[in-house]
Amino acid sequence: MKKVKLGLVLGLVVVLVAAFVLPGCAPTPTAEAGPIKIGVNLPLTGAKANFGTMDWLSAQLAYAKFGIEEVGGRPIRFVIEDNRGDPAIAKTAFEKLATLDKVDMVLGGYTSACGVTQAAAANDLKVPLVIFSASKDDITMEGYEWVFSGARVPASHYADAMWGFLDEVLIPGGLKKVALFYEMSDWGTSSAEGLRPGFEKRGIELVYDEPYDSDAIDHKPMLTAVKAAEPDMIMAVSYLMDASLIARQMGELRLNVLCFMGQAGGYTMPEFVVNAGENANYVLTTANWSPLSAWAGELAGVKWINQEYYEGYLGSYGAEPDYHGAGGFAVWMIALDALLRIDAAGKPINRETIRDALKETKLMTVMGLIEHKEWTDDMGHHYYNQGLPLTYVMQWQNGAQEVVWPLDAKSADYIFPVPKWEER
Amino acid sequence: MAQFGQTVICGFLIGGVYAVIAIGMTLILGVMKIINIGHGHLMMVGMYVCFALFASLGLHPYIGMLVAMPCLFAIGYLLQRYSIHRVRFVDTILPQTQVLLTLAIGLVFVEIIRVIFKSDYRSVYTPFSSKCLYIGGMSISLPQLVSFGIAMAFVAGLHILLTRTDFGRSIRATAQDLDAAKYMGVDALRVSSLTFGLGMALAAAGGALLLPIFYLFPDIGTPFTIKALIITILGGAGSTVGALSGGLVFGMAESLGAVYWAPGYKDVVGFIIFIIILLFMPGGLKTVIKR
Amino acid sequence: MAKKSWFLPAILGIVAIAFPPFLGGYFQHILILVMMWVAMATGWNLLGGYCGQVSFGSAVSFGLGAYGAGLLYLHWGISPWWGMIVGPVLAIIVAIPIGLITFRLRGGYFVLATLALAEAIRIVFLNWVEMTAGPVGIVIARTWGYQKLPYYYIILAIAALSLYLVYRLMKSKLGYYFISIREDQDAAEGLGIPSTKYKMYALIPSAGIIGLAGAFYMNYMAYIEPNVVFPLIISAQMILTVMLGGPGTFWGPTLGATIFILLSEVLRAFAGPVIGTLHYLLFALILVLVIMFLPNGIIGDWDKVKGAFRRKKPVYVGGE
Repeated sequence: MKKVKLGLVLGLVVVLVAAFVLPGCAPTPTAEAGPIKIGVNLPLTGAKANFGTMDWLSAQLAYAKFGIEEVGGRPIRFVIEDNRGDPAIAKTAFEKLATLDKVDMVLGGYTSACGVTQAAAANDLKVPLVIFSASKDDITMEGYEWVFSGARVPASHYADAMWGFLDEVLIPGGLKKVALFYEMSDWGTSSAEGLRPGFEKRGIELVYDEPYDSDAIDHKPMLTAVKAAEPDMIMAVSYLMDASLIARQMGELRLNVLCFMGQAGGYTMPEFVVNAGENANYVLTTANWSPLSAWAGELAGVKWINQEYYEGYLGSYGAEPDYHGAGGFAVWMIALDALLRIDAAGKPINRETIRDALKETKLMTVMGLIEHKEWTDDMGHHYYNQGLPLTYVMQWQNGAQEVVWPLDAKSADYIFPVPKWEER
Repeated sequence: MAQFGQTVICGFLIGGVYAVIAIGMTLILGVMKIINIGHGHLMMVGMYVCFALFASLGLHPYIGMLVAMPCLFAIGYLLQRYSIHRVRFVDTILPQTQVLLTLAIGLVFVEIIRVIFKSDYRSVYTPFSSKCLYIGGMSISLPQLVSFGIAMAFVAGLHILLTRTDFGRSIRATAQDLDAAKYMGVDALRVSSLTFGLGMALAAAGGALLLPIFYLFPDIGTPFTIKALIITILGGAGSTVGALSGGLVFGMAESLGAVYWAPGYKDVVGFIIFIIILLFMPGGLKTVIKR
Repeated sequence: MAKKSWFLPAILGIVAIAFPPFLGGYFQHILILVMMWVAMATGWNLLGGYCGQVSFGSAVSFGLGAYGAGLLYLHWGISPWWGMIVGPVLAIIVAIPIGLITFRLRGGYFVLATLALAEAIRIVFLNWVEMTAGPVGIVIARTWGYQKLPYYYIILAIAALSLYLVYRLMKSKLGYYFISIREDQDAAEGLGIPSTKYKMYALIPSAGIIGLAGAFYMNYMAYIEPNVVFPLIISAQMILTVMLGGPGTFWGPTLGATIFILLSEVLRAFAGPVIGTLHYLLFALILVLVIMFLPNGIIGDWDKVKGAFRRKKPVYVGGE
């Protein structure tokens, strides 16, 4: 009796295990003869799906735009894995792509945790990985030779353009005290770490410096404490919905400051103005892409301009993209450029040659010039295969985002100090 | 001083919102002794009903609430009758099967909503959402004041239902002694299903009131389930007045904690209070209030 | 405990030891996850299934095990492999006061208290940045990069150890005490069994095993942060795997963990491309059905499972 029962248990387990093993036993074509397989490892379901989907849809737009469906006589095939935003699943998916599907390269990395596990897996398994937008600095600081920054900006550099704006506009305009709050995950915390030295160097006093829970319903207690600290400027790092709530609740509390600066993230997203309404006006934000920037160029014989990506996405999907999407578009451009360069040099396309080609990447994209290089920044971070896309300062004016800094890229003049709530 | 006053007001008002969300939980936990870990997720479903009505017909959530409540009532009734009831009285090794079932059911609803609406964030932001009264340098949010009023109305209404109607008496009877109630002719299955439906309808109401001042996406539910559980135990399971007072205490604790300790730790304040109540006053605040 | 036929487990053991070197990296990774969850489920089952204390805060032990290993590296540069000792010890040290506080509560209240404490600890780890590095998390260098097998055999040994530990405990007098506390705590106390003391005797190995799995997780995944190792979903998944397989049975957790991990991955990787985002919905529906129809798990309700496959015999009334 017991034997039958446990025998059925064994049978069940063996069946499930076989369900895995058998697909792996099928003979796979030799690496350099079959299609070029490109793995995609993103959150396509789950709480982070909107960003993962935006990345992937944008990459698909790029694929369609440049129209290259085969390189070196080999067709391009995508193998798509959904990692649900969970780092353990991201690793599982990467293992599958690398060892079962035997892809030649992987495009991946949204959410910093998934980025870290994918980068480690990429380096262990020796598969080139191009990152979409995971912002954790560490990802390109570990010296992984198989990991490439792609379109991502390290979290501590999102504010690069802001410092010039501070030095030339805000500080002369009376800025002495800043209140800093940041959402509590890796994104907010790393950004804050990158921001503090910049404020200290300029002698600015941080009168408030706290992490907060991005899921909170009511930010008013925190904003009340900020109000009591009487800052000249508020610096905030938030995701989309907390950014919207904070903007609204600042208005409700009539929290007046000389200006409010957000660190990209939620503050640059098109939905910010939808969800915050008029409270979004005058909000300044760092940004690493704008639909207004005039990047243009030619790839694979096809001319492109940045504005066209924006309009194409809006037309095809009925929603505005933000820098995550631009990153997705740029990542495909980077991948395609690498593949074409290998083919032009007469070399076979495999993981090593892709890695070597990516090392040499120096390409103009919708995010500006992307170059995979090694360098050290003035905070002591040493990066490998990391580019440094340009950043801007933007400001919401009349319900639209305008580039206000650097001046040679501006689309409108900045408004500083911003009007008080009671006067709006 | 103004900071303290504003902090207290914020805590008080958000407490009112929490209370409405918790009232449904206290009914179910107190009467049916079911820990519904899917509470927040079903509230989320109610919020999506309101959102859909807003997006397609422009109905404000306060009106959409009148549609969401019956929808969730029906869902709750069916869930209890055909699913949860099955595991309540089965002799199992562990009695907490129904907790897991409610968790799994909650997950199913989250995924169903995700299929229909995707994971995008939605919001219902109307001009009323940000309206405030300004008194003495402090701002009082009108939507939250409305929630507070409605919370009081529900507490009063539920109280009347439970004490003055036959149905209410059946509910209390099954809560006190299920077998005795059955002997007295109460149809336990019907009563429990109606009660669960009512609890879910109240959760939907809480969600509808929350929608204009917050936002919506499929995974929104879990923190609210946890808060509702804490408030329910804090106030005393089964007591509507307890849910209201528990909500206020909890909201106040969060608010004061966020200002005077740190925003990151504000939830910990609630948990600490929760543990203290569990250990030293397991009946909850209602035992204090009733005296 | 009924006498066990050691034939089947021996076969499974041989398969588990000999098979993996022939599999590709992806499958080895899945098996590592399976074994890790086998250990965790078995550990949870000791306190929850056998002793009846359904803790919703077991993620605390897991996270503390992981951080025990990670913090050694973060603060003192010590190899996280020493965390395989430090992690479980840390998990146990924290579990003891939690147990002392919560064991006086019964049933649903105990569930809620463990849940609340687990969430509180998660938030503390997120905020106490000087100690834990907060949300930035801890990154370590992996000992074996390309190879999975060493990790696999380590976790296999841990899973085997946990099964052995539970086996010995349940065979001893302690096992009887655990079950009697689960069945009727008041009657047990009436017979002179101090329930809190014996619950602690169940909690300590349980926390230790789960902590050991956590320390392994740190070493294998090489990256942890509080929202990855402490969230409610980890505790819930431990409970679900045990409930699926059969709480209070010896092989239940193993079966549950195996099916849970394999099923969720099969649905994600192979059904996902076909039915897209529905794969997780399908998984949740299966969970609901299993809980509803097999509330004692597959092994616990084995009779029902067998009954489903038997053809219904016609019933003759009257003997014809």
